[in-house]
Amino acid sequence: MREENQNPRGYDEDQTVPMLLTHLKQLRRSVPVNYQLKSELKKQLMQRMRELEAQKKKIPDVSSSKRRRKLIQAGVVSLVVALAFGSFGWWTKDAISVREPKLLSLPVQSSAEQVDMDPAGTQIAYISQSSVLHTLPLNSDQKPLSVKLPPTEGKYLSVSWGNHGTQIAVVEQQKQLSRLWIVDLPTTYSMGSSRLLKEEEGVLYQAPSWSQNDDSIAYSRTKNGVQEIWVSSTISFQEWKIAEGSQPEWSPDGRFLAFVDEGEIRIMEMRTGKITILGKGEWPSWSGDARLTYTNSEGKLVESMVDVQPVATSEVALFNRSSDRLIRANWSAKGKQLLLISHEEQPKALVISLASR
Amino acid sequence: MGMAMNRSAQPSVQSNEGYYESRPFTELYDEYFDRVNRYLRCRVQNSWDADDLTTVVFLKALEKFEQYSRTSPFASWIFRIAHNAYVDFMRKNREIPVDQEEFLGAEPDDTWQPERQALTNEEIRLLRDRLDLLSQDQKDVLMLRYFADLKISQVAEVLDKTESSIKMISYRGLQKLQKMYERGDSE
Repeated sequence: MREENQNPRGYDEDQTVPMLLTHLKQLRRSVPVNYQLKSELKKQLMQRMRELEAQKKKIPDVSSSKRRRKLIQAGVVSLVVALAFGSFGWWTKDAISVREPKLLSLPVQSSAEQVDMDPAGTQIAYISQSSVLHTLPLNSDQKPLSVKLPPTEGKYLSVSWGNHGTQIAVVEQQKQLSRLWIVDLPTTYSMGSSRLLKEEEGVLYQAPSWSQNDDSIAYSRTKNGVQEIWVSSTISFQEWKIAEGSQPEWSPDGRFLAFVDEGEIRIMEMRTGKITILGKGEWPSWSGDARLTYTNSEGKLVESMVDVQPVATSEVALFNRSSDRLIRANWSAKGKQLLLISHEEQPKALVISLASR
Repeated sequence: MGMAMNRSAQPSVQSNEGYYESRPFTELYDEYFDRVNRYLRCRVQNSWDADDLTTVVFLKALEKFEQYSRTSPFASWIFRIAHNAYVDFMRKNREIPVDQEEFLGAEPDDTWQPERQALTNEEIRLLRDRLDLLSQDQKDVLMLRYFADLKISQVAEVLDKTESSIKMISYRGLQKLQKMYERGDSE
């Protein structure tokens, strides 16, 4: 506002430099257009449109029969479930039960950041051999993928799914150099690709987290032992510091950013910048717009309702879970599926399990 | 709204109830190819890269066309894709030095229109040198406004900024550019 007031009201920049504008217009017109490309690309696009049309026609048949089969199966299952558990279903309606106790096992030296679940809760991604990104479907509709990450000398450490489920942010560390990459997963229509979002010497990037519309990524940046949370736009060159801390996690509606600072879980209301401390813990994850869970020092999962004052916090019961120490719990977007990352003692490993409501 | 109605390249329907773009992809391609290709040829150092990027932009646009809402201008949508493709390209190529020989106008082109040849490659080179002295925001805004021929509101949509900030950035960028022309600097 202040800047605007320094200029005459209702100014129109078009009136102030008419000669320059004419010059720019002339220059624009003088830039040649590649009409040969225009006609060749049009043919290519028409061909692609025909292919897409053909694919579209095939898909409904398969999906509708699949859907029907699924509906029947779901109907039978739900009927059985309703009959069997109906009498005491009322008290377990919000209960979280482990349904895949050992989905995956990673070497014990792996970090809890090396694995993440997609927002739809249909697949997980993890890094193995320091440079291969794997996806593991949680249902039979998808195929597992292996994506070779850019061949550098660094080690890939952190994984984070974008909210649209087609992109994954990965962090690479090469001695003193930290890089943040965005990997576009291959699809039926396109080959996968990787692009470098950011690199910096003498720092350590960790724990990337995508914003609501995937237009920016928050991550922790450690320099000289100081941990800070930064945000980089994925569509422009903008970047800015948000707070001191680590493990940032955007709330699904983008209203809050949860993070860890001095061993405490904190949430920042983005509109006002107000920070609320929730309690001791790490690895915050949102199960709803105002429901946040995190793991405490005893390896228990704790849930906070952040839209009530004072913030209500309670321990979350996880049925059928082993006694392994829980490190991190990550929710799918609708708070139905929960990815659990635990430390197994015998044999020593990082065990990934899947729970759901 | 009124201004939009007067422009030649406009959507099929724009009434008091709002904007609706009803044309099929091929028609929009025919109309917007030139603007996108010109814009990228202005922004990227060599025209082969610009043409590759133009291809990427329209292939991407076709893949995502179902996501285009049709209630906002196609120009904003396609130039958002073009701008993002350009930003990605710059990130990937940021360590590659500029090859002055492959500058925008250095390549002979059959489509070059004779009546405009008076504007030499040197003038274009000079403009680009001067634009490089502006801030990234100013460069983006001026390029989208005057080389992609977008309206203020459309530039605002592409860059995710408010119209007033686009006006301000554009005003300042033009003033700075004007001064450079007056002083004759490019370094």
